[in-house]
Order: sequence, then C-alpha cells, then structure tokens
Amino acid sequence: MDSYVVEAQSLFVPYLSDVLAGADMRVVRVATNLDVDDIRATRPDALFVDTDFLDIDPADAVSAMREALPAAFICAYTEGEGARADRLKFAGANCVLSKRFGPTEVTDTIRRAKRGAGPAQAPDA
Amino acid sequence: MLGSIAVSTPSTTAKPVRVLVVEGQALFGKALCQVLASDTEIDVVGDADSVANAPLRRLRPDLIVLDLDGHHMEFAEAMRTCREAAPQAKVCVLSTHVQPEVMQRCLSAGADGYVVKDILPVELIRAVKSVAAGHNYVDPRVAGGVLKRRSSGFGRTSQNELSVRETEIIRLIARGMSNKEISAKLHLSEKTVKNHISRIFAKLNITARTQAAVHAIKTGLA
Repeated sequence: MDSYVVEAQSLFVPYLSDVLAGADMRVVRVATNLDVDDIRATRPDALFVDTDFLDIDPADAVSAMREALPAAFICAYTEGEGARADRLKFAGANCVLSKRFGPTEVTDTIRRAKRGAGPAQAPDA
Repeated sequence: MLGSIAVSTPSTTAKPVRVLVVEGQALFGKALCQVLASDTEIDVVGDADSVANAPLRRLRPDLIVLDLDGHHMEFAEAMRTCREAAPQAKVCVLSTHVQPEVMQRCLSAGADGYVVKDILPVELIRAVKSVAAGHNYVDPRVAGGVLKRRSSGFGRTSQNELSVRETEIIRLIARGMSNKEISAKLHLSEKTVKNHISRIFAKLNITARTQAAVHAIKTGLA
C-alpha cells in the first residue's frame, strides 16, 4: 500500500518507514503537518498520522483525512488512551496505535486492522 | 598474507561515548538508538522508557539523551534522578518544543544540551558528541529565539514564565483536554493538575481555561 506519513519528528521517519514496510505500507510521501490538498494530490492507499504534533485537534485531522480519501486506510498514532483514542476511531481511523507500542505491536495491529478483524485497535485505557 | 590490503583506520584514542536513551515513545526510542549507533564513536549502552526505569547506576553512561515530552515526572525531578544516579553523565534533552522558555527551563534544571526532535541525524550525532566533550549545545533555532528576546529586552527569566510542566499543561488545555484527561496523560493526580493550572492562571493573570488556551495559541505553545 502506498502510504502517506504525517510526522513532525523527522528524525523518526527512516525508522518508522522500515516498521511500516513490515506491515506492507510503503512510504511514498512524508509531511510534517496536515496538508489535505497534498494528501488529495498524492492519493495514497494509506495514511499514517502522528496526532500529537498537529496544529489542529487530532480527531478533526482524522476526519479531514477521511473526507479527503474516503477509501484510504488510516492509522492514527497517539499518546492518547481511552476516550481520546476512541475519538480518533470514531473520527474515521481504521487503527489507533499507541506510542507505547514497539515495532511488532505496531505491525501486528496494522495487519489485524487491514484484515478487518474488527474495529480499530484502540490502546487500553 | 597474499591478497590482503593494509587498511588505515582513523586513530581514535578516545573511547566511544557511552549513551543511554530515555524516550517514552517506544518506536522513537528505537529510531534514536539506530541513528546514534550508526556512528562508531558512539556506543548506545541501553534505552529505557523513563528515567525511573533506566538502569543509570548499572550502565554508568557518559551521556543521557532524555526525552522531555514523554517522561512522567517533573523535568527537574528527572534531572535530579539522573544527577544522583549518574553524576558523571551529561544530559542532552530531546524535545518537540522550540520555545526559548522551555529550553531555558531545561538548562536551568541542569541539562547540558537541548535538541529539537526534527533535527537531522547527522546533526544529532554532532550534538551528542559536542555535549559529551563538555560543551553546551542548543538547537540554533531555539538559541535564535533567545537572542531575539534578549534584543527585545525580555532576556531575563521572569517569575511569571511558565515552568516546563506548566507549559505542557497549557498546551493540553489548548487541545481541549479536561483536568481528568490531563491527569491521566501526565500521570498526575487531578489535584496536582489543578494546582498547576492555578499557578498558570496567576502567572498569566487570567481566570479561565479559554484565556489560557488563547494565550497558548498566541504564543505558539499550542
């Protein structure tokens, strides 16, 4: 899946790209903040967004992504747990990834969500 | 030996810098270790998700790369823990904040370096080596902000400046989080969060959360 990453911590991107590749997500474009027009123009199959460093409310960001690309697979990466993680799921994220997750948990969670084995995997509260 | 080629290696008399990475985000911590370990003059001796869980006494690092955003204790307390357990270690803070006041608080608490998380890998390695060699390192963008404030007459630390924790809390207020959500996120009691908010209100001379949120947005904290 061609994937678009929104991640402000650019130091992190090369390693993150390797991890996402393990879940069959090939990073084709990286942005440091949300740019819906750029997302529309890129038309990726999947989006990975670090919701903790956005200029706007994380759930609003996910909603905007969902509206821009209704069929895309959206991964929301967050420190938030419980209700905050649920908000991202309700906003349209296919899977919610906790920043406590190691690489294996990240790829396993993405794979499960891609198989459609149930609702998004929100981190436990 | 036939076919062998004499290869001259750089004569490095100095031992590698022993670095411990303390980073709350598991993946980011691994990324940091990977970047740092790519340099032959750096030896990553371990990583931990918090200062409390870091084996500082056992590993005796020369330098600690300390995440400002992910730890669950007051930054000053984290610094004290580092200093007590590894007094020989330099501390290089890694942060998402480019606000000069956050950097100043970290340096005041005893940090030796301050690096913003969108730094290039090569620059991070340079920063780590510089701090390990006994120099201070501050992200040039943040340092530029300090100079700008000084030239504007705001260089002195004011009693009304927000602490690192208060800055963190006002950012979360600006994101619309309740006290309960903030307490859960920062692993603080609601009472502690309320106390921090009271101090924020007093320092900013405001009376409402919306005013705090507006202040955070206007000053670039959120």
